[in-house]
Amino acid sequence: MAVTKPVSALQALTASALSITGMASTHAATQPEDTKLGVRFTQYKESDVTSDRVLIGSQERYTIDVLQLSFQTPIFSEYALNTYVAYETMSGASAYRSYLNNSDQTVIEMSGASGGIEEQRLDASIGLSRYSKYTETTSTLAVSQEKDYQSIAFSYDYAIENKKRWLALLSSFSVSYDTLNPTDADLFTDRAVATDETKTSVSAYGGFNRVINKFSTLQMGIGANVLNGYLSDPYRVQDQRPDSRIQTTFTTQYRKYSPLIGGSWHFDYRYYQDDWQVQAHTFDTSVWKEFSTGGVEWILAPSLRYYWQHEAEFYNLEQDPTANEFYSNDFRLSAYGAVTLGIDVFMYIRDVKISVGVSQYQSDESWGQTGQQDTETPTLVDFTTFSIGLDVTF
Amino acid sequence: MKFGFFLVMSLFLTACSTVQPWERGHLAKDTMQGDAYPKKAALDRHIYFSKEGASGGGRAAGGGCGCN
Repeated sequence: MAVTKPVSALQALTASALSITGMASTHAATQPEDTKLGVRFTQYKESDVTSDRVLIGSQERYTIDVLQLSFQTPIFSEYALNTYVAYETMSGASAYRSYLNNSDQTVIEMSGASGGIEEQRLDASIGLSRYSKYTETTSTLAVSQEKDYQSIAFSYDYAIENKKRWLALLSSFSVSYDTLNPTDADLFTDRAVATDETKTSVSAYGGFNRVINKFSTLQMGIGANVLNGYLSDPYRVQDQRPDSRIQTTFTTQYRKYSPLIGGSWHFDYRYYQDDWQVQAHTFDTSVWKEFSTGGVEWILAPSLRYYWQHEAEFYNLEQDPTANEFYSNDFRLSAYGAVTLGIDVFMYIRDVKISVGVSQYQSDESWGQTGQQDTETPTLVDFTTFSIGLDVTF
Repeated sequence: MKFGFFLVMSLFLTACSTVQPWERGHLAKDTMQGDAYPKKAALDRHIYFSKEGASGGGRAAGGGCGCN
C-alpha cells in the first residue's frame, strides 16, 4: 500500500531530490523494489481572450489534451530503468502581437483567423539509474518532437550521502539541442523567418538534502542555465530578443509530517533571475492529508501557489518599435502575478492508485509586487486543468 | 548575507538530532518526497515553463519545446 509502505532510510533521505523544476523522474538512493506502471490523462483549457480587445483572429485560446505514461522497474541487483512518455494534442489560437493603440488601449492580434492551430507533441525520456551503498547516478536521454520544433537533451545526476545518512549532496548537469522550423512564415511580412534556427542550453544544479528530525527534511540548491541561439518567439511579429540568456535560481523545499493533521505539509520557494532583467518569486505550498474509510486509504491534497515576476528590460507595447533594438510584447516577459489553487484526491486499493485532480490558474498585472504594472496586459493567460490517473505496482 | 551563509553551513556541519533508521517511517512516505506524485509534478513544470517568464530550479533544465 503506497500510503504507508515503509521504504529504506536511504530513500527517505534523498527521495526529495526532485524539486520545482527538472525533467527526470523520482530520485531515490536505493534501488526500487517494485515495477510500477502509470497512466494519466489531463485536459488543459485556457480562458478566452477579452473580446473587445481582439482586432484580428480568434478569441478562443488553447485547449490541450495530455496523455502521460510512466514505467519504472528494477534491473539486476543495482540498476533501475525509468521511462516516461507524454503525448499532447493541442488546438486553439495564440496572440502573435499586442500593442497600445492611439487611444492608449491595448489591442491584440490573434492567430486563428483561418481555422486556428492544430498541433501534436511527443515527449519521451529513458533513464538508467545505478545504486551503490551511498550513491546514486542517473543518466537520462530525452526527446521532444513537434512538426515545427525538435529537441534532444541529455542529463546526468549524481547524489551521495554521508555515512550516518542525514545529509545528501546533490548535483545535476544537462545539455540540450533544439531545432526550429516554424510554419506559415509567409503569412506575415514583418515576422522573422526562423527556419532551421537552433538553440542550445547547458545547465547545472548543486544542492543538499538533509534530515532535520524524524518528521522533517530540508533541501536547498542553486542552479544555472545558459541558453544560446534563436531565443525570439518565431510566431510573434516584431519579436526580437537577445541570442543568449543566463538564468540562475535558488530553490528550497521543506517537508514536514504532522501527526496532528495526519499528513504532510510541503513548502517550496524559488528565486529566479536572468540577464534579461526578469526576476521572479514562486511560493508553493500543499497539505497531503491521509485517512482511511472502509479499508480504503485516501489522500486529500489541496495546494496553493503564488508567482510574481518583474518584466524584461525590452518588454514593450509600442505599436512601431525602433528597428534593430530588442523588443517583445510577449506577456511572459511582462510584470504580473499569478495564483494557482488546486486539489488532488488519491484512492489506494491494494496495489492500485487512482487519482483525480483539478486546478485553476489566474494571473493579473496588478498581482505582481514590483516592476511596471500600470500598463494592462490583456494577453495574460488563465487556465483550468482536470486530471485522472491510474498507477499500478507489481 | 552572513546570516544566510552561517545558516547553510550549520545545516551542512551539524546533525540537528539523531534519527535512527527505525524512526524514519514518516520520512519514507510518498507524501514526504520532493515530488509526491511525479507525473503531476512533471506536467505542472511543463505548463509553468511554457506560460511564465521564469523556469528552472531543481536539477538541470533539459530541453525545450515549441511552447516557449
